[in-house]
Amino acid sequence: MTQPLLDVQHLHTAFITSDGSFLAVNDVCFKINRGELVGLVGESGCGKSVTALSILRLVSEPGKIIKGSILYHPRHDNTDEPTVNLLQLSKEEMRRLRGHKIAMIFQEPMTSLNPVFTVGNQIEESLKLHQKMSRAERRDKMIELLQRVGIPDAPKLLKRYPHELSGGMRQRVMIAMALCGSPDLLIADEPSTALDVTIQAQVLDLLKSLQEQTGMSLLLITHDLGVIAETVTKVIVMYAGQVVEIASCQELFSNPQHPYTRALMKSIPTFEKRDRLETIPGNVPRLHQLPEGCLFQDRCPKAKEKCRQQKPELEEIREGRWAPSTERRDPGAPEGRWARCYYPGDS
Amino acid sequence: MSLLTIENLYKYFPVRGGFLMRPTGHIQAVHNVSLGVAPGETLGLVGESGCGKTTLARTIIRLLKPDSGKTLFEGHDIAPLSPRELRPFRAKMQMIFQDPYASLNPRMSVGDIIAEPIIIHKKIPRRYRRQRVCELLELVGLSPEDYSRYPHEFSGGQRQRVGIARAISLEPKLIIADEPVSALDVSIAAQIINLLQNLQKEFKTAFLFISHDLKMVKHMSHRIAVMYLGEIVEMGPSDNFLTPLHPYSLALTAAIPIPDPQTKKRRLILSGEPPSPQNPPPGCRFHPRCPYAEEICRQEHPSLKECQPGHWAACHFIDKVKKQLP
Repeated sequence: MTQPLLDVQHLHTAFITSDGSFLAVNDVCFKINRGELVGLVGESGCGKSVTALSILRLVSEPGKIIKGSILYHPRHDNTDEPTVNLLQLSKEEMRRLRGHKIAMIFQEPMTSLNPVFTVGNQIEESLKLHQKMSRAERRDKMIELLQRVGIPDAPKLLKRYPHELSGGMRQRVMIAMALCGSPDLLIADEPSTALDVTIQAQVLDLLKSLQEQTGMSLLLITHDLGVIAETVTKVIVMYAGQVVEIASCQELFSNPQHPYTRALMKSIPTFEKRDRLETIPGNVPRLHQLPEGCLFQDRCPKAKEKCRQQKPELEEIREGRWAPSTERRDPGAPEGRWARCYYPGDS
Repeated sequence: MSLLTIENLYKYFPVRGGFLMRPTGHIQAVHNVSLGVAPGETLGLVGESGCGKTTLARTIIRLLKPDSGKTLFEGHDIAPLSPRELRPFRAKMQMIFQDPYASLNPRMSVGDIIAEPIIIHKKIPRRYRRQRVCELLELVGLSPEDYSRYPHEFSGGQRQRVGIARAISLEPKLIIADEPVSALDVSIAAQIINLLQNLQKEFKTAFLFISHDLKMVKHMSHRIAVMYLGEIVEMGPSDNFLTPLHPYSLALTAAIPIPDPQTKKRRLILSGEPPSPQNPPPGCRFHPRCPYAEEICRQEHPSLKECQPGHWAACHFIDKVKKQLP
């Protein structure tokens, strides 16, 4: 059986503040298989980015990963490497993985590039840290990387500073940096949100073609369902720190199971309809005073007594109802779909 | 009669450099723009960042003084007016800003922020002021308890609601909404869009709705104007924008991600990035990125032509683009 590349189980990340503590990531489970394009979608504050940062163990004070496991199975071409739980690695071991086998690109490329170093300096840093190369080799590698991300005139670009580049170019540089260690998993946190649509199309196309060339897995975090529909094969929907639905991209859009996903789909404008947008009443619950039971209950048209009393688990759905508990699989197993709701689908 | 008419508006920003900081060039932020907004109508303005959408908005509302051109509001040219003379017009024209973090004074409570236009324009007697602000807070989806809270206590989305409450507090005739929902989440954005549409129905408010999101603009607007490098390249009824006439609008339409994995779409990915507005390319400003460009596009600047009733486009090869459409 092929093991997934990344297996996140019951991840809890809490922020402990003077107002009390709250769970930004609340029992998150999913898998990412090799070479899979996975989308993580949700509104701001739903825990998408914190989930990504937890995978890289970059959550900073006052945030803390308090529970769960993140199993990472290195790619098969280096079979001797055992499966590791990222949460149990030492700082040093984690540092060796981070930015090398698991890389991340961020939303705002200006703030994630250092303004006082040239582009060349910054790409070189990663190569210096993770790979043994001579100076000339590093230079060749950098030029090759920049050409792969579609930057014309790469040798010249190495000497330039981030402020001299446009947003699209900066994001390409970020992607080139992430590719330094030919990563198994690239986490892209809203990589195109700060860019214009025509540039966004270029960057998404680039990410897709790089994924095809290298066979890496891609975890694409976005709030834009359009970007999701065009880029990924599997989708994880998050709400208020929880995963509420996991499905293949096709199924998610044709037949969403969780009431939140259904409502979300109806609230985006399309080219066709000109009538009113459907809205989701109310607001996302505040994370430090979560209700008992389902977190979506106050905004859900289908909420019943049960939803207010007991928290639903993420369950596999088959033909619109829960799969029998004897056949239970872990969330994210291939060809399955999961929803955290007592009354999924039309029922 | 149209509520707002703009004729040949220009706004350039000097670029200074050298020892004496003399002007060395100009950013052509708004270049010969003409448009009109009828009462109760929504005109959508789309374009990529840096194309001059925001400068146009600020110039219309006279936060910036235009270099030349006319801005007729209800028939009065407000372009040359002094700040004092402008004041009565300001009450009728309000703006919702792009960045909810920068557009609210961090030292004022939300209630005071929303009440400020009411105080300045003396619209409502003092004793009803608080009540009015609370109404406005509820209208935009906040609660009256938020009256004495400060902007930093709110999320970006909630701050934008405060900005909207402030803009509608005087029931203006024209609201210029500069990317009002780009900072909001989809479910919240839908609420705000519906709210803006309600306001429009109730008070017959006209909108100049600026966004980079063509989908949102299409949903919201009666007519759409597409801007590229400081110029309007296409303008027409929003229903026509499924089949735009200018190659740039076409690329813009094609670049929008459609939330439906079934649609296999025609991809027209533009290569390159918009050139600098400091020295725009000669001839048609779009020609370096245009897949249809020919010699004439490098030489001659195309002017806006009415191709269909009410639908204008500035391109030498509109017929060629039309043929490509499904």
